[in-house]
Amino acid sequence: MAVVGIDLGTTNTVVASVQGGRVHVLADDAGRRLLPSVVSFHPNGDVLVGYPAKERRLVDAKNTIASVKRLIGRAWSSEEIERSRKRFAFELKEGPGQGPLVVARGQEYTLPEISAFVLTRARQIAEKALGEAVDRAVITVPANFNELQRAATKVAGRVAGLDVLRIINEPTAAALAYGLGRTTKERIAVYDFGGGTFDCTLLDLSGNVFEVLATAGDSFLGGDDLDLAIAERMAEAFLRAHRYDPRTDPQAFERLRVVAESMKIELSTLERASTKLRELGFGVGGTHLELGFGMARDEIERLAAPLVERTFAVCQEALSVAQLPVTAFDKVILVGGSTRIPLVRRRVEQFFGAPPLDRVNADEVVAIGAAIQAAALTEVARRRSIPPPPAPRARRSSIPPPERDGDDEVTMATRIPSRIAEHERARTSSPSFRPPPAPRAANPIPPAPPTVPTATARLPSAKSTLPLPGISTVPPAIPTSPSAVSSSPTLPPDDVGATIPNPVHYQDVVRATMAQGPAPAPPVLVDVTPRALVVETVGGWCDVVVQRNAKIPCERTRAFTTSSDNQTVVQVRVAQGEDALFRNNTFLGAVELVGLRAAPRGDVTIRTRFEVDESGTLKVFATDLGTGKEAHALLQLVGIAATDTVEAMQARHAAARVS
Amino acid sequence: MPSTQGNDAASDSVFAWLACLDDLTYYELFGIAQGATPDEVREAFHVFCDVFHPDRHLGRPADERDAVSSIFKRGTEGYLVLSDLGFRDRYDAQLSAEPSSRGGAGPSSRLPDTHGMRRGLSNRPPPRLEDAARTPSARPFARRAEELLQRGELRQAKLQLVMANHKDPANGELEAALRDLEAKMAALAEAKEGK
Repeated sequence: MAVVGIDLGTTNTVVASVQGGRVHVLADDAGRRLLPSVVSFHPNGDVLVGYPAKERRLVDAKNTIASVKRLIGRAWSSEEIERSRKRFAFELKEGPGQGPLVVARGQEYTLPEISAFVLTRARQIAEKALGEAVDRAVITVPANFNELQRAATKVAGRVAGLDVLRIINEPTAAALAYGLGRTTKERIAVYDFGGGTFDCTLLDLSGNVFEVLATAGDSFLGGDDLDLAIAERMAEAFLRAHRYDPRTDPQAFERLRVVAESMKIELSTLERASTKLRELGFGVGGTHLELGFGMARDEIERLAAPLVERTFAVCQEALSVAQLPVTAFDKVILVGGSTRIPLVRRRVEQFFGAPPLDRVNADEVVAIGAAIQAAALTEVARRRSIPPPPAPRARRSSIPPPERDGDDEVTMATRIPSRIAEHERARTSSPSFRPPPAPRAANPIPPAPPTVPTATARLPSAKSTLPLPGISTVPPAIPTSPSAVSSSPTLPPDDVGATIPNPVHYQDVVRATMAQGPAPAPPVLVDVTPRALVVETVGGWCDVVVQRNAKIPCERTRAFTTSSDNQTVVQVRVAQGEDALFRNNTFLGAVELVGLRAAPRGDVTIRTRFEVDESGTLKVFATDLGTGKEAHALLQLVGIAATDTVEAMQARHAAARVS
Repeated sequence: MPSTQGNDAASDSVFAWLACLDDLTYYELFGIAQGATPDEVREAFHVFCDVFHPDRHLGRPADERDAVSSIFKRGTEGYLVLSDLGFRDRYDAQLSAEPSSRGGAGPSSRLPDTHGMRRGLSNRPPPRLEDAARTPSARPFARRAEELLQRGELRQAKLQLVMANHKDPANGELEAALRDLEAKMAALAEAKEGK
């Protein structure tokens, strides 16, 4: 069983795999390494994917689905769906739970199902190329994809019969492919200008650690937009010449876009390109209307300039989130087909003040990174040894241990003094397990009862749609420490670093081994949440629980109180975005807690815990502290298919003939 | 529940870390001095990630993975606090005030929360004034005030700020913003007279 990395792009999909320590981009029988992310439903019942489907786009645009990545994980009411309905020839309709459906040949498909066809084809290509079955994959998504888009992509993978090991961000994958930072410390920018989306991600690399500093993106900005602009230009020329507007016929316009795309590509190398537009319409007496159309490099650059400038606004946003000047970045990596445009290269070089890196094929770099990560995640028996902890400087605090199962065992762990020499030896040989050290103050942690938090905000009641006027988010107070009892004198702050009692801190141990050369371990990605995760409070405002750009995995807990008297139901509504108004953010879902103790408003405290795992997948738990008994509820993402639905999709998918 | 007997050497330091996690300051967690520079913090965090990132421990049994994950989450939290000047100042103050209590705010949140972050900022781009407003009715005024400020229409901005203060009385931040603006206007007027 092999693992692969899949770059599921808006326009093209690439699949790669690590074999014998080398990354291979896998090609189909014809030797093509790009698989167009186009799915066409043929009248004979076959589902065509890739180049055959792209050809069908010219004759059967209505049943040929492209650019589905722009739509996946979006609500029917979203602006993106609205724009796409005008833009694409295929039919979209509203499905249950706000999820858009694609209608082709009388069948309705969810968007993850369409993506799954592409993934299945990619899997077929990989299986043929590798000569073995492929069951697991790392799939990449744009860095600015939200929770719903990530979850939908994961569903697509599952429908295609793949165990999705991890969803990783495309720019991060690209950085992995370059293998930068293995020996040096550097800051790099990834400029990812693809067919449908633009992302700018800033990374800080050292040794084996890839830390994402910030990420920003525009999911409706890509090479497709330039194709469209050129096609518009062509249509106008056609209208002037023949008094017929090809835009009135979606099929004709589709053809124009294909011509426009190839012209765009030509103009990246040529100063001037021309083509003949045919079969767009009929003139008097049924004659075919034709038009010669030419374009010069500077003309296309004029069309592209506003799009390119928009990318730098996004870069600027990322820089301001990272709070770094553009000069702080040593390198800039180019990713995505649109970075082949000479204007883009020139402007990137101007903006970052550094020549862009393009050593790795811009179309394949993301899949290569995904394959590297896939290999890293499946390396058997991976367990890095952990050096002993430093002994805490002072006495035990009264802070209760974080909530988790198995706390008792933790305190029962035997404590045997460790010897550093022994530890060092163990570290350099094979991963092994050393006894933990004896902390200076070896009292077990007293399991403290949960204290009522100081910072609270009021949640709207699920029952009353009109929250009580005048009640707003209580400004959370500056955190106060729980009443800790301490009578012993404290060290002046300056001495803190010098007085760590453990003779050798794990940091020194690790640094010492690092100095001997880069460790053989694969790099570890420390990614971030692209958008803030917020909870709705009374008045339709937001309370930020996980801020934008938080390192993941992470966990945050916030407490809220009820907003009306005798409120027994509370709905914790969760969204993603930075807007202060809840409704302007992407609604993710709600956690409902029922059976609260009837009490005056503000008396019942609900604790919500947000957990974001390594994949960026969010879990929200709500616990009622008011009744004393624990009630848990789990966030259900809107529009994301439940397990049984996914199974049904899998069955239907498996029955389809994909080629 | 922990299947420690499955491992020949019982367990390495994972659970020892977990046991003393709540007693470590963020500085101790990263092995840095309280006066560490941002670069030192960053470097220490990278070393921390190299050791504790969950991806480094995929071969461990589930309970150990959970433990590693908890330790790592504490690290990301610590890094957030130490790499943010506003957070860090307050954390330091908290440490020296109550040396035996670590981490932060207690069970509800060990982090200074995000509203506090905005307030505690120093060397950062100014926070949105809108977020400082605590009542819904004050927010639009705060937002407009900020827009006007950016456009340099100080007098109009002042009116909006006065309204914001009226709608959200005794809000230190809004009051401070108004005072700042008034001072700025006074300075400008003086400069004009000087000419």
